[in-house]
Amino acid sequence: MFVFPLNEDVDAFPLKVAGETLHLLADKLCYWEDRNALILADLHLGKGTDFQKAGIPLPDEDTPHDLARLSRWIDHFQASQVIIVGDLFHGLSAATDWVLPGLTTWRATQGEVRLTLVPGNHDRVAKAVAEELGLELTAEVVTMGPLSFSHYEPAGEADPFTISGHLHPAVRIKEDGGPGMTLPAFIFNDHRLVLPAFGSFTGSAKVLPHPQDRVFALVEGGLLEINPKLCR
Amino acid sequence: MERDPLRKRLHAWFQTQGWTPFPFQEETWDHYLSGRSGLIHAPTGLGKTYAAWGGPLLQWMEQGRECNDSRGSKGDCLATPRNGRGAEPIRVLWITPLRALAADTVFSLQQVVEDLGLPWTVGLRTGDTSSSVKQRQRKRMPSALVTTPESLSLLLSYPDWRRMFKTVECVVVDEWHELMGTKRGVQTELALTRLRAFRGDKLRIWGLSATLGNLGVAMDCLLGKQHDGVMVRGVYNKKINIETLIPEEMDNFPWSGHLGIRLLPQVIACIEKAGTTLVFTNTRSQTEVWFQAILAERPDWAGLIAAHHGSIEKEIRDAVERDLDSGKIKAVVCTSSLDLGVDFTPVDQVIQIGSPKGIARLMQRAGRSGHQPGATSQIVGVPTNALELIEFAAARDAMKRGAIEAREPIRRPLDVLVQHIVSCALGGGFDDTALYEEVRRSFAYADLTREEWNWAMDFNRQGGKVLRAYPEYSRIRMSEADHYVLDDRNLAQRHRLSIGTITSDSEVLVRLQGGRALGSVEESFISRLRPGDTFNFAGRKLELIRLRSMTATVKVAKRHKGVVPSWQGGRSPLSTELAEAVRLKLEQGIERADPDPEMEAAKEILRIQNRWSQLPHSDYFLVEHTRVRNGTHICIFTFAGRLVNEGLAALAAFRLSQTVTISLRLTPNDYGFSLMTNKPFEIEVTQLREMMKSADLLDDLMACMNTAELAKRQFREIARVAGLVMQGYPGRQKTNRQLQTSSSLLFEVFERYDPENLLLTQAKREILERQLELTRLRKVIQHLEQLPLVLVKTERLTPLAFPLWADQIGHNITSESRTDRIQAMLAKLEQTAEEAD
Repeated sequence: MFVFPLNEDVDAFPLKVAGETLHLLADKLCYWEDRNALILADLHLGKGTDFQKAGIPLPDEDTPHDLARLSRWIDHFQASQVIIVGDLFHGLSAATDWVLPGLTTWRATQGEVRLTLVPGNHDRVAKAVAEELGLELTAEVVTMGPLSFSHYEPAGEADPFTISGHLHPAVRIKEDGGPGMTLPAFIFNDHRLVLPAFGSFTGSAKVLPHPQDRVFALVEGGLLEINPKLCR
Repeated sequence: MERDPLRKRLHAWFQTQGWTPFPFQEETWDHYLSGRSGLIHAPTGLGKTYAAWGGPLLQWMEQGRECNDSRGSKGDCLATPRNGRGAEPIRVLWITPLRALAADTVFSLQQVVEDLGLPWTVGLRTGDTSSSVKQRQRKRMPSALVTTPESLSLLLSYPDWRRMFKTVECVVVDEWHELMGTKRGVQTELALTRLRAFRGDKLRIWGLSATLGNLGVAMDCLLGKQHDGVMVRGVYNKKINIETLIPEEMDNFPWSGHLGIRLLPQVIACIEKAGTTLVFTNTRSQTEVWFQAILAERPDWAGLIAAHHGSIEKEIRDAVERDLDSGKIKAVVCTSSLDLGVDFTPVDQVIQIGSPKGIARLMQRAGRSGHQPGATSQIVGVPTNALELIEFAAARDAMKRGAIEAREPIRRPLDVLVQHIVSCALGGGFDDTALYEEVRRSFAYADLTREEWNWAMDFNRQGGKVLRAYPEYSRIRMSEADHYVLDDRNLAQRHRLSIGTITSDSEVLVRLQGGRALGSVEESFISRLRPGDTFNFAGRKLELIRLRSMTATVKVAKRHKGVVPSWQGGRSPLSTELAEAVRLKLEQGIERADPDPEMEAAKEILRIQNRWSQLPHSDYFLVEHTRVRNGTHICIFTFAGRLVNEGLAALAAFRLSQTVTISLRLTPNDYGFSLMTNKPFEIEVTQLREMMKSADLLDDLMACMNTAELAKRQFREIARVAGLVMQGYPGRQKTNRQLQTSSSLLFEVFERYDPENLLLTQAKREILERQLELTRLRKVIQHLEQLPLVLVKTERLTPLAFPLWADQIGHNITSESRTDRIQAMLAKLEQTAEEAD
C-alpha cells in the first residue's frame, strides 16, 4: 500500500492515467511525473485575512504556512510547473496590501516555475493580480496533453481524464456505535481524480464515493486506500 | 391593610378570580413597595407571577394617587388608553427564558391591568415579533415589556437604549432557575448590570425560581455583587405522590436501554382511566416511539392523543396546547417542551416515561397535575429498565429528605464578555475603565482580572496579539480617549444577528411537499438519510424526498421501516443528587422488612448482582472485570454522576494507555464507567490504584483531554458566542458564504497559530469545570482513594455492568497510532461487509 517514500515523513502513491504517471502525495497534492508538474487545488490564500477584514479576529498565518509547504514540494522535485485547479485565492484580501506583498515575495523566490491557474469560484481577484504574480490564467476547462483540468468535477464519464478540486473531499468511516472518523481524501476512477484541498484553513466536506471509485485517505502523513463501500 | 385602599382593589381582583392572595404575595408586594429586590421561590404555577406583578402595579397606583390628589381628577389617570397613546411609559421589563412562554405571560399580565382599568399596556418582544411591531416599540415602549434575554441584549445594543428604558423601575426574571448556571444566565446578568448602572437605586430586580438546592447563590447571581435582596418563600404545601408501574414479569424486564415499551398496556390503562394526561419522556425520539406505539395499540385514539416536542413547528404545538386545554384531546406525549409554562392548564395525571433524571425535574413535572394549592400532584413512573425502578424509589426518598439539585453558576466566561463588549460599543459606546468596573459588579465577573479584561478588549480591538499588524481590521475602535464605539454598518448588523449564547446544530426545516412546515431536525441527522428513506417525526411517518438549502421536503410514507431521529443532547445525565440517592437506596440492602414496591420488584436482579459480584456500598470501591465474547470489560462504579464519570473514564484510560499498548472504548453512565478492549486483558488492583490516583490529576486530565478532543467540541459554543462563526437558520439560505467555517477548523487554526488565545484556555477550563466538574471529580477521586478497592472477576456481565456494555457510545482512547487504529477498524468493517454478502 505504501509505495515509495519521497522523504522520511510523506507517503506517495503512483497512478497510471492515460499513459501518464501521477503520484498522489500525502501532503494533499499530486505530482505529474511526465511533465515535472505539481497539481493542487483549493489553497484559499488570504482566507485568514478575509475573516479579519470582516471583523472576525482570526490568525492569518495560514497563507505563509501554505506557501512554505508549496515551496518545499517545488524544491523537492525541481518542478517546472504548478497547476492549480481552482480556488488559489479565498476572497478579496489577496489583492490588498496585507496579503499581496507576501505573495509577490514568495513568487520572487520561485521565479523559475510556471504558475498556471484554472480559475475556481473563489478566484475573483485572480485577474487583478495575475500579472504581478506571473500567473497564467486558463479557461474554465483546459487540456494539457492527454489530461484535462477543471475546478469542478466533470459530469458523467469524462473524456479526456479530468483532474479537479472544489469539493474538499473527505470520507467518513464509522464502526457501529463508534464516533467515526472523517479523513480528507483523493477520489479516483477511470475518468477523473478529485484532489483534497491543499490549504490548511479550508476544512473538508464529506463525500460518498461511488462503489467503483478508489479512495486514498490521508492519515498522519500517510496515504491509506479505503474500500469505498466502507465509507458512509 | 386598612391603610391601603389601593391594595383592596388588588384583593378585589383576586376575589373576582376566586382567589385570596397568599401571604407570600402580600409579603413580596410589601418588599417591593419598600424598594427592595429579591427572589421568590415556589413550585410551578403557584402565584409567583402575580407576586411579582402586584408590586409595580401597587407602586404605580400609589404614585398615581399622589398625582391625582394634587391634580384632583382621579378619572384621568385611570382611564384606559387607546392605542397605547397616553399609556404609562415603560415601567417593567419581564424576562422569560422561553419564547413559548412569553405569549402566555403577556396574557396573564394584561388581564390584571385590564380588569383593574389601569392605563398600562403590555407588549411582547421576542425573535418572532414582526419588525413593524419592533419598530413601534423602539419609538415607544409599552408599560411592561415581556421579552427574552436575547431580545433584551439586542435592545441594549441600540445607541438610544437609555432613552427607551429611562423610566424602567422593575425587572422581573421568570424561571431564573432555567437561566442560572448557563451562558444565557450570564448574558442576563450582564444586561441587568447595565440596567442597574443606568437606573441606580430606582431599579428593583425580582427573580422567580423553582426549588433549587442553592437559592442563596441564585439570588447573588441575579442581584450582583452587593445587594440587600430578600428571599421570599412561596407556597410549598403541595403533596407529590410518586407511584411506579411495576412490571408483572421481572424475568424478562430489560436491564438497560431506554426505548423499551414493555409497560405499554399499563400506560394505556392509566391514560384510559384519567381525564387528561401528560406523558413526559426524556428524549424526542422516546416521544415519537411512545406516541406511535400508543396509537398502534389504540387506533381509536387517533385525534385524541398528540405528540409535542421542541422540534415541532410552533403552530402545531400551540394547537396541541389549545386542544388539551379545551378537553378536545385526552393525552399529550411530550418532552421538556411542556416542562415550563406559567398558565398551562393542569391535567389529571402526569406520567413519566423512563428515568426521572433529577429530583427537582420530577417535582416540576409532577406539578403539572393537581394545580390547586393543597391538592396532591400525582405522577406515575414508568421504568424502561430495571435500574430505573430503583431510580424512582430513590427519587421519592430524596424528595422526602429535601435533597434538591443545586445549579452551579458560571464564572467569567470570556466568550460572553467578548460579545457583551461589542454590544456595548454598538449601544452608544463605552469608556474602558467604566465598563470594566460595571462588568465586575455582576456575580459572574466579580473576579475578572484586569489582564483578562484587557485581553478581551484587545481581542475585539485587534484580534489579540495575532492581528497587531492591521489596526483597521477591528470590531470596535477608540473614538476618543478611552472611549470605544462600533460604527461599521455591516459589522453592526452581523453582530446583532449573532447576539445570544444558544448553540445548536444547524437545523433543517421539515416541510411537507406542497404543504406546511412540520418542524425542524438537526442537520447531522437528516444529512445521513437518502431520498426514499423514511423516519418518524412529529408523530408521523415521513419519507424524505429531497434535502436542499436547509429544507427537507418530505411526504407521508406509505410503507414503513422508519429511523427514529436521535437528537443531540437527547440523553441528559442523571443529577448527582439522584445518583447519590440511588447509591443510598442500594446500600439499604435488599432484604429489608418494608421495601418500596420498586425495590421489591428489583430484588431478584439485585440478588443476581450480589451473587455474581457485590452490591455497591459506601464502605468500599467496587470494580468488576469481565471477559466478554469480543474482549474484556472493566467496570468501575463511582456513583458520581455521568459528567464526573466521563472525566474519570478519560483519565483512567489515558493513564492505563501510558503503560500498556491498548485501544480502549470508554463508556460513562451515571453510576460508573467502563473501559472495554477487544483483547483478553487482565487488570490488577495496583494498576487500578494508579489509574484512580489523585496525584497529577490536573496535568493528566489536560493531557488526556487533547486526546479525547473534548475541548474542540466545547469550542463550538465559544466560537459562536464570541462571534467567530455564524449560525445557520432553518429554511434560510446561508449568507456570507465567504465567512462560513466550522468551529473545529477554527480551533485547529488557533492551536496552530495562536496557542495562547484565552478562548482556547476557556474551552479547556469549561470542559474541566463545567463538563467534567473538576472540583467534584477531585473530591470523588480523593474519596475513592481512601476506600478499600474490591476487584471482582466475574464470569458474566452483572446487572450493573450490563448497561455500560450495552451502551457503548463513548469515545475511544488509544496508545496505538491512528493509522493502526483505522486499519483495525477497516479490517473489521471489511469482515462485517463480507459476512453480510
